[in-house]
Amino acid sequence: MLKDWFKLSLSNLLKNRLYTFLNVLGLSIGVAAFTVLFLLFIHETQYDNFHPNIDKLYRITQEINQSGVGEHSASVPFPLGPTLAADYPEKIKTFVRLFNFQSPSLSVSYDERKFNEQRFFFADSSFLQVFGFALSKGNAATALRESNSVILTEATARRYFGKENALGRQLLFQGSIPLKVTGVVAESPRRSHIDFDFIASFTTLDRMSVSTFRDNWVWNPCWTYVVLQPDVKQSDIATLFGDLIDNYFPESIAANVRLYLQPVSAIHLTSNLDYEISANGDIRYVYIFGGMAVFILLISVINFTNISTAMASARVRSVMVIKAIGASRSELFWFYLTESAIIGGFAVIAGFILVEIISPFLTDLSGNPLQGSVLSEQNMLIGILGAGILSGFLAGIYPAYYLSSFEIGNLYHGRLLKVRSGRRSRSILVVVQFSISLLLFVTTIVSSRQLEFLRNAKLGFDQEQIVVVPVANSRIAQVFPEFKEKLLNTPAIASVTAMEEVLGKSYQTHEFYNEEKGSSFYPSIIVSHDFIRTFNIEIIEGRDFISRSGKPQGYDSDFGVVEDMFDYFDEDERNAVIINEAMVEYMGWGSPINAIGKTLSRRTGNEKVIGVVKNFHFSSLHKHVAPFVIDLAGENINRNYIKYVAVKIKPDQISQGIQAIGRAWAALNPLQAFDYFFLKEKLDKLYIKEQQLKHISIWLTAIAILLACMGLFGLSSFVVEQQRREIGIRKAIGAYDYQLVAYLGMRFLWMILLSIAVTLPASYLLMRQWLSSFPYHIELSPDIFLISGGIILIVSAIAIAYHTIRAARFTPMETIVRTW
Amino acid sequence: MNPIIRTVNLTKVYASGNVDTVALRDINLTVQEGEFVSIMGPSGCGKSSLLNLLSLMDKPTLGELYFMDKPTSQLSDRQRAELRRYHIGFVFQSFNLIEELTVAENIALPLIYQRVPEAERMHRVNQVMKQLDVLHKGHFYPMQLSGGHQQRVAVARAIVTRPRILFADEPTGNLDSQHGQEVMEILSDLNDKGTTIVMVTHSPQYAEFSQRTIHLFDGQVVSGAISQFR
Repeated sequence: MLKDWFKLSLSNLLKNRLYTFLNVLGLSIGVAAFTVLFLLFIHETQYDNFHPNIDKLYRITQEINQSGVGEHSASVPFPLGPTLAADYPEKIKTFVRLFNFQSPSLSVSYDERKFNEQRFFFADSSFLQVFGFALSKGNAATALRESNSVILTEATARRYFGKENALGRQLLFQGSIPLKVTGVVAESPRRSHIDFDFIASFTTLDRMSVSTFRDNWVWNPCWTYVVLQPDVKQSDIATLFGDLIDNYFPESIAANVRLYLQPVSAIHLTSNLDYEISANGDIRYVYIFGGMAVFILLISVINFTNISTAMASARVRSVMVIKAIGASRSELFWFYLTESAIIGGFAVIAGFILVEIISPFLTDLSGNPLQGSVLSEQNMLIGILGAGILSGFLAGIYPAYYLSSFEIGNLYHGRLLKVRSGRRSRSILVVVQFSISLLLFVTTIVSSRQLEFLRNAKLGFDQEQIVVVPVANSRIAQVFPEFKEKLLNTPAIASVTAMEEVLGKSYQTHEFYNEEKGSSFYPSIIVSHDFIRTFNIEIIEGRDFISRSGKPQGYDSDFGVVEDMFDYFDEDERNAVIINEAMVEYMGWGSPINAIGKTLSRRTGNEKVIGVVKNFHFSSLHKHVAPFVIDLAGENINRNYIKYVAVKIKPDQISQGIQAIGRAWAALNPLQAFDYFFLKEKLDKLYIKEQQLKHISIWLTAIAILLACMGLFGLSSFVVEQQRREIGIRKAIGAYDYQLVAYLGMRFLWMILLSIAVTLPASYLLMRQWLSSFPYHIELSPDIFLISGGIILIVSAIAIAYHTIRAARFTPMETIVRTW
Repeated sequence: MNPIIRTVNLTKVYASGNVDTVALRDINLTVQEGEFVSIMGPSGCGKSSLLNLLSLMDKPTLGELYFMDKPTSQLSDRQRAELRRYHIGFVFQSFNLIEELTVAENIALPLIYQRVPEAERMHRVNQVMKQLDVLHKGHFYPMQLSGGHQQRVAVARAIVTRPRILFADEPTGNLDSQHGQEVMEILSDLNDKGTTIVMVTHSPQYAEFSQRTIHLFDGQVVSGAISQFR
């Protein structure tokens, strides 16, 4: 009997090819979208979970804060880790520090191959014990013990040495310091917030000038991790920090310093501090994607239910016959449920294939390729397969109930298709589907507009035409005046400056003193001459920095220079700072003119305010504009602060400009590779998460609308079938086609209108909530909701149109007796 | 007097897959205004198909139907709907009432399509319900009525627009003899008041109510095609 039933099933599925196809396709797209989001979810939530003692592994962070101004840094001073471990051995089992000179890239070479490496760190020898990175070659216990040792990832080893064995080979760091390869880190799909290509032994630093900071408690460039002793809790350490700060931090800053422990397992999703090792994820986006995953699956399950119900109406007669020859209702119910589950299983397999096909194109929130595959995660595979079959079951319950509920008697009373009880529940399902689609639609529009807003916002400084060259720790930093002069002798170059961070992306905090506030750390940037001019920052009071040696050649105007301000100071390098309006306000100086001449000095300097600039966005638009100091680097000192050279190239001469920079670089620094980037592109990447949200929500919205419309298409077929006789009757008494189309259309459109009425206010509130997390954001204008609602209405009308127009176009008798 | 209906070689072929079934072949007949005509014949001879063509419920495969002296083969769907709306009433064998609507709403439906104002609509619905003795059933749903009452409602819906011609497809087919007799008397009464009636029936007894009977066999008219009605 079972065999006959399945034969019946198969024949029904083949007879209704279109619906079977829509059904399997809909569920498989739903499963594929769900799987991708689930992969993303797994990817984002499993960072750093592979380290031994992960529940005891913490990062120390440092906050320097005075009245809301300062920094909360992911890194701490050099001596903090060893001091903590030495003073409290009963609490701290071990520690490890990572350091990279706070440099955007470091130069590494092998034979003729030169690279500027962005993921190069120095780490204490405990690195491989504290973290769960395994070596495929080398001895983890000793790899980082010796000075001048380095371990590297397999991909990096291939890049430098090809297929040759990397162990024992010697790299050259910064053109002069030899590093011997002592280990190769095994490739792994596991992800960590510590994204590295090289780890060199910390003791290598002893022979470098930076070793003078070994006992410095002010500069905080070391990412420092501790493993607590087994019986020690996070809260136990918090109490030690007070003593540690009092004992070791300089008196001038101790009062404003706080130290915290941060669980390493929480860093990727919840940490967004200053000086993170690399951009982290964001728990909000994980929730958003998790929610979207559930929504998409829900839509496809509803879809399946609606289309299956529609298909069921075509097989009522065979059900009756089976019932008439003795099948019980429960037998029928289970049979149809099993059938649904099998279709669900097929859909899941099709979904997996779809995911495998698109997986090479998937990226995580930071734009990195999404590692791992559904097929490689056995548990996940079983889980999703189970979920798909379960979805098939869930989606099949209603159709199974519907089919098995027909009474044989109805067959003879012309009421085959009149099962009124389910109409309301189906309507609710459609309302839910379209509500979700509409919500996703609104999310897409809002996130796209917010992204465009962030990208195109007026930052208060020029981003276009500016090429940035990383020069930290390179010879260029030392010979910058020569480099600049060479560049300015090129017609394509408009102006040149240097700075310690990428303007608009990041900044430093430096300690400044003044009478009103004493000594404090302020967001600031150390720059060279022509910074204001290169970035076209508006001076609202005072003047720009002036070089003692006069105006460099090649400049054609006295931009920003006010003659009567010349007299203030004889040497801007030592005596001058420029501040922004927010700083004037923070200091309580009243107006910019009052700020001119006020003291704002470095520890050993005599700086005074010579100019006030209009507020500009010195970091991403995720943060409010804060008080900010622009400090001029001395010509011979502070060269270590110069990490980037910014070159403004004249319009339409970009390629000539870049060639000129390359030539100047090669002439002055032949041993190191030349790298550059466009400022605008770099700043765009600040909004990579928003960009990813936009991309993902565009896809999901398209999928959601497609699925919902497929469901509506199926449902309209079902309802038109149910209403067929009524349509014929109305036609018989003289209804025009358009009146019937409108009549039938309204049977569905009210559901869509209800979805719109319910969802638009809800989406407004949700979007307002999301936007409020941005200090600078778009306003929610009515057109967002009008466009979303309008498009959903139009698309759903198209989905309904096929069956309704078709039904209305037949003659009354064709409609009533169904010859189509 | 011009006939209200005249057919010329009216033919209907149903195509099902590769098989064509000729339901009606070269039908030539006339129906005069005010006439009461029955169509009879054995099952499957094409009675209902003919009625559907005559009432513009269906389209012929070949031939021409003149309705009120105008050819109909070139009419658009909208024009055909208009003729049905203003000039034709139709009573189905299986009543074909809309189950979601009450008796009064079912009867009012054609008037809604005629855009008759609500007050007048209510008046005419009440009038016709009274005429057919279903006034007390106005707020009932069709499922709550007996077959006889359902057919009265179906007739009420068909005549509420005061059509020039009423088609009835075995109006007594689902009724017992008592209710059948009642319905026939109603139709006869309507005809007396001037409504042209074309009715399909199996029953010679009910055919007696008409002035003329068209006999069909195997899709062709065998007798009664031409009206003698004056």
